[in-house]
Amino acid sequence: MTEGERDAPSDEALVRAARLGDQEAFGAIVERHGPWMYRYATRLVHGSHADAAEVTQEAFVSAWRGLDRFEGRSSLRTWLFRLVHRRAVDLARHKRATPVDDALLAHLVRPSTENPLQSLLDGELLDALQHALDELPWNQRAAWLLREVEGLSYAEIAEALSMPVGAVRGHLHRGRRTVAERMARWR
Amino acid sequence: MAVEPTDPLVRATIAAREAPVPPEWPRVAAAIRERVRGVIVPAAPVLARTAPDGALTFVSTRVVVAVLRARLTGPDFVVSGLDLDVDRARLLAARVTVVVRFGVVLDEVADAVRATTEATLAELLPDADPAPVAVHVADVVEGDPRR
Repeated sequence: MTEGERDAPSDEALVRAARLGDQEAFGAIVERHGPWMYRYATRLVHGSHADAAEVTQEAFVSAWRGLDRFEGRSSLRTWLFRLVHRRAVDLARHKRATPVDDALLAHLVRPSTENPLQSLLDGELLDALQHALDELPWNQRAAWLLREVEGLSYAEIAEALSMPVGAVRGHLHRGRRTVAERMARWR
Repeated sequence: MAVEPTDPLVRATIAAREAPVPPEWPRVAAAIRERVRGVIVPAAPVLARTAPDGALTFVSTRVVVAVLRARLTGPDFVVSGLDLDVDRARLLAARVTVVVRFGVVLDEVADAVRATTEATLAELLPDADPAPVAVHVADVVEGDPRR
């Protein structure tokens, strides 16, 4: 942890201030958690940055309006994932299926000056992973992303997806199996 | 030298996990801030002044809360709630909820919070009848309550 991070206000302190209308505090919440919410939204909505931006915006506006409803039972991060997920579900209900734009994912790979070939390979693998995820049913995809990429616990995923922990285990098990099958051809 | 994982799924998952912040994120963040600025927070007008000619000046509760939030700050407490009871543009009561540092004398913190609140209300609403100010200590925490 850096000195700046140690001195930074906690999520609880930022929520307290934001509840009182402090937009700077809410801006700090957006800066702290927004990139990961946007990343999650992007993968959830088949790599569409326009849709992910809309979902993330709507989720944070919901958070701003609904801070009083945040009870602190879960972490702020989990609550925000929950809002992003809900907005993504709303969007999916109202939108036709959109094709995946492979080029959109190319920049998601950290560029490596040491081994450009490796970066290229990772980029292709990431594209393949997104294709595999796109084939998963909604809840399996969400559970897989929250567990494998965002590192949430089963209980946190259950909170974010509004389902029992047992259901999370089921979705994750099936999602992992399907993703592994789809990625097997790269071996 | 670190050993690179050879399993493609493991490699792809690690690449996904370590992906940098998308370059368009600052634009998305700016759009969020703009949207938040445009959200209208529920508020009520409070009678602040009555001029000799009968002209009335009202101040929004949003303004009162913003000023109180800025002034009610100290190393031993943090404000976690500000409720203004307004009826027909009259401020009937104010309630300030605070989280206090462990070890401080609660009465002293409450008195200081109440005094600042009363002074601020008198300044912002000079012609309003003084409203009772209740201070509610909601929690006591170790360390700096502002963090």
